[in-house]
Amino acid sequence: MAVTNKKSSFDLLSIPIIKKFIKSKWYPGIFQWTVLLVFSIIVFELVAGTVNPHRNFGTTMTWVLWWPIIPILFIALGRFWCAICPFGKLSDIIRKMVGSERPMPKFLRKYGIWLIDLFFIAITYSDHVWGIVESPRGSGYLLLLLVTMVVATSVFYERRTFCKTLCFLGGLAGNYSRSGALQLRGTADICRTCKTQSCFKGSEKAEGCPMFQFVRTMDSSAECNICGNCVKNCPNESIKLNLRVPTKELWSLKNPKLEHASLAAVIMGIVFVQNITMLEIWGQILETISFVTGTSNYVVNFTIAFIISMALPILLLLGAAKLATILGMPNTIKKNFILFGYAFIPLDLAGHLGHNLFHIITEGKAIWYNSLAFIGQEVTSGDLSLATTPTVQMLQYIIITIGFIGSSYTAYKMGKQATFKAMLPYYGLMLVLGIINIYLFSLPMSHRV
Amino acid sequence: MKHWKFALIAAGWFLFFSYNTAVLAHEGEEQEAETYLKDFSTNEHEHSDTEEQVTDSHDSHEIEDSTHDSEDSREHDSHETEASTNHNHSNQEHSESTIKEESHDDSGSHDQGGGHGAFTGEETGPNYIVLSSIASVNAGFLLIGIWNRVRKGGNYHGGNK
Ligand code: SF4
Ligand code: SF4
Repeated sequence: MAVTNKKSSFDLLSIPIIKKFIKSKWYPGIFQWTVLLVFSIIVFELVAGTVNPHRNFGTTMTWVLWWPIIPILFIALGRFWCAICPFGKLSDIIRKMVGSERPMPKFLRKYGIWLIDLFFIAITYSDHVWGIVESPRGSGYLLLLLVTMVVATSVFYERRTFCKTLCFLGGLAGNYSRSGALQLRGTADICRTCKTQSCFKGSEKAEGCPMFQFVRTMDSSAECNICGNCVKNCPNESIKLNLRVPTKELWSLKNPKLEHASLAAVIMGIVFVQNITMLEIWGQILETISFVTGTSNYVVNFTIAFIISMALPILLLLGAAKLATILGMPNTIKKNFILFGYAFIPLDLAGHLGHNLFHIITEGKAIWYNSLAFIGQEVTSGDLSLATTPTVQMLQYIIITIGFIGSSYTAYKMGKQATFKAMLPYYGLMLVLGIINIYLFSLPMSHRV
Repeated sequence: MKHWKFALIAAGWFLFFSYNTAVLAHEGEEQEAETYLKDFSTNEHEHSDTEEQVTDSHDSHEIEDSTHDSEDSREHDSHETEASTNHNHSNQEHSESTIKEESHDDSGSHDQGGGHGAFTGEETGPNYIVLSSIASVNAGFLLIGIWNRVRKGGNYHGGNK
């Protein structure tokens, strides 16, 4: 049984007003409808507004505001974004109206996270080849393609099949939420004797867990949206919503999986790609690659840079696992690869946050200008930045240092039975990844808008 | 579900996605021409190379190759000159140069430009072909859902209430 009976961490549901709000019909609906409304406006602006990305309200709100703040949300609130996500809400509406509620196909159950890994890689790759992020229309069509996938899965399959097995943001959210500061669990003694299991099955109060979680056995926050359905459904007041030390879940993983560890490594690769391609020396890097390949074809040269960036974290992790095994780490190389892959997550978060901090701080005023322009106000604009580049860089270095400490401490906790010598390759690996990130942030970057 | 239904849905998805991927690619191509021309030399470089690829995928190689060569040498030259200027910048200088570039916008409204990049492209309206194709695929799925409900006469909840 994976539920908690620890009394030490603070239970937010012990605050009456929070419990009442989460149990009410307003939660999470009030957030969902607000986000759905904003999302509709953003999609409309992307597909029908100006094609100038610097002035498009949708581009600014999506890539300058939302994308940078999403990792902060995952750290602070776990996977709460998924509870209020417009795709998730759309899925809820469609299932309620016309859904067949068939069981999730075995294929998706088995290979869902791998599909998410692939989608993530494909979206990043196609963005760089076709410039989706810089193109309002491209971003709009990407969102509409995701809407189509949501509609298709929700018409046929039960609960949030799309969120659990196909949404690339869901994969990211799942991984990051393991480091989050919020966790929802049941109370072991209560759940043990429960006959209704209405947290999973649902009741007249709310649908059963949309993320296929059974609170009695749930041991991870990776798939819990904090949607509150189980809080509403549980007749025994078993649910607790605790604050916890960020990254704590990673310290004692019960069932680490290759696909999750790979996703953590893939995210690190994606952060590298995002950083490298925005560097002002990106042109020089391409030139160097073109010198080796003998072609100036952008797609060929970018593909090579992309493969190197994606493969680097995986190869480094594999090398560290092998070295650690040689130095006396218990378990096989594969098991060590899988377990310590999760230790990348704090650094992933830091890299993602650091990269996007650059955008939100140096392009932040675009949110204001474009929002005013959206409501028809004429505004005088100039520099879009909220702070100077050195200030941003200082913040980036601090964030990466925190990420490095988080990853190293996670590795330390994971390898508690190993000797310091056997752990050295992992500490070295985290240091190398931290240094690469800091080096990349020390170089001048170009802007999105 | 019967096999023919699976086949039909799979074929529909294939057509839909292959069509839209092409549209995305085309969108990128337009983007290259219109908005990628930021003030940064690196992006210009990217621009020329991506353009090559987009052309590559459509037409004859010979003509392109010659175009590429000439374009490329031109781009490379300009890149090198600009790159050398850029790389001598400290970060502070970079940020100052950005501000300088933008300072001429200060008197104008946001609508007239501003921000980090200069937009030189033409405004285009919504692409109704893409939008209606997405809308019809979604409507198709919703119709399947309605049809499933009608067939099952409302018994659709399974175990999850
Ligand atoms: S319904 Fe409540 S008591 Fe029963 S298993 Fe779920 S959380 Fe535990
Ligand atoms: S476990 Fe509870 S809060 Fe978490 S997703 Fe399931 S129903 Fe929602």
